[in-house]
Amino acid sequence: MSRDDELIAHLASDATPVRRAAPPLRRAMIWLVLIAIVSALALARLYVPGTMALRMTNGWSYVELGATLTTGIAAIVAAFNLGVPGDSHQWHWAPLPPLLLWVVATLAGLAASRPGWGVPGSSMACFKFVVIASTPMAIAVIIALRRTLSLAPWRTSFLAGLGVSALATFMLAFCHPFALDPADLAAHLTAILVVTAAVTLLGGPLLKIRPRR
Amino acid sequence: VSDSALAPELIFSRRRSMSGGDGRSRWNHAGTTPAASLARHMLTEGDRSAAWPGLMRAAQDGDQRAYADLLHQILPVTRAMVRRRIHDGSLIDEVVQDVLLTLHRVRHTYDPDRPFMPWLAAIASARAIDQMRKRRRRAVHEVFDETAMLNHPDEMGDRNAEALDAQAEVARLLDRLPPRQREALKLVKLDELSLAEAAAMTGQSVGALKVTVHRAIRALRGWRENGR
Repeated sequence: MSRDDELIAHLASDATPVRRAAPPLRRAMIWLVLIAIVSALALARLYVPGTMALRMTNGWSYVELGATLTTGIAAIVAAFNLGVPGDSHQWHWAPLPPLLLWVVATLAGLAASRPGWGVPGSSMACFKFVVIASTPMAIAVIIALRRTLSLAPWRTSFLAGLGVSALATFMLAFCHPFALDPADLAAHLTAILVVTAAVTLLGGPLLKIRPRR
Repeated sequence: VSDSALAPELIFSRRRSMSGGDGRSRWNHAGTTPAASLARHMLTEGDRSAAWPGLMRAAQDGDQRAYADLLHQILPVTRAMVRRRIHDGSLIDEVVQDVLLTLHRVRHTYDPDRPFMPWLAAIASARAIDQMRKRRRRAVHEVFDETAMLNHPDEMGDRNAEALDAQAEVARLLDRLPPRQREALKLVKLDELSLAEAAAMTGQSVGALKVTVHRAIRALRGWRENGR
């Protein structure tokens, strides 16, 4: 009996019935809907009246908000898609166009409103909000992605981190009763980078496929 | 794109009978599922790869025989996929086994309504790339110094020489024994046969063999103590 035959016999004897994973798009949508419901409930308590009127000072603000949400959704869908072998790799790049639009709209919005530089460190509340809002979402997305694990665990956890931080930044827009200034933007950017890096580094090993011999 | 179109080089190493009468007794979980029956029927039609989604569906339902059939059938294709990325023959078998183990771990992610080959190809490709990366990382930490062997003293050299001396002495002493004692000692002590086996080989009784071995050992001990 060759080594391959032995392995096949071993694997076949271990082949208990398994529950098929639902298609990745459906799983991603279910996850997003659940997060949307929980976020809406949280925002109903946290929303400061008049925030949106203050925040939406020009047309670019709407583009920025839409791009933030689209980046989050695209990154989450891409992460779920990467978990299934053989699914289209085009999804890797899905978050890139809205991410670029987000950056462009943010910078254009800043240029149009011409705020002062802001006070470095004054935006700590924004940083904390993004990190705190991201944490439960990050845990939830890693648990959901562990259903299939991933052949590309680091890319998957990176996309999950990017998605979660973008969704948290989208939520922040509803609790941000002042216009964006460069110091504020730096805080948002730092929070996004910290959350994305943390989810990538902590989530990657949890999504690795470790075959058992 | 159909699976068969993606796998034109399918050459199966073993042809297994799919319709054996004793098949049912070998099911360990579910009995013959409709998907497995259909898959087996399709196998007889000649296009085995077309049956893989059905076999995989049956395997997901716990049909162990269908799973074993599938794994045997995809083995040559998997090896061909791995060989396309890895040219080191010693690595190919390792990666192929890794692909099978990974496939087993994520078998619940396969959707039987979709083609099987892209799913398998993604696993094979990922595992081959992982192995190449591991190789590259290892190569970075390895230092190639062709003079190292010459400059490094062989600490085992003396020990090897001593072992060779001891071997030569044993051979010399054995040669001095009468043939009957030498053969008995060799079978029982060096070849580690049981007394019964050695007795059968030499044609002696077990009791006589024991006495012969005992005499041989006493003779060797005596020569050694006397330094002869």
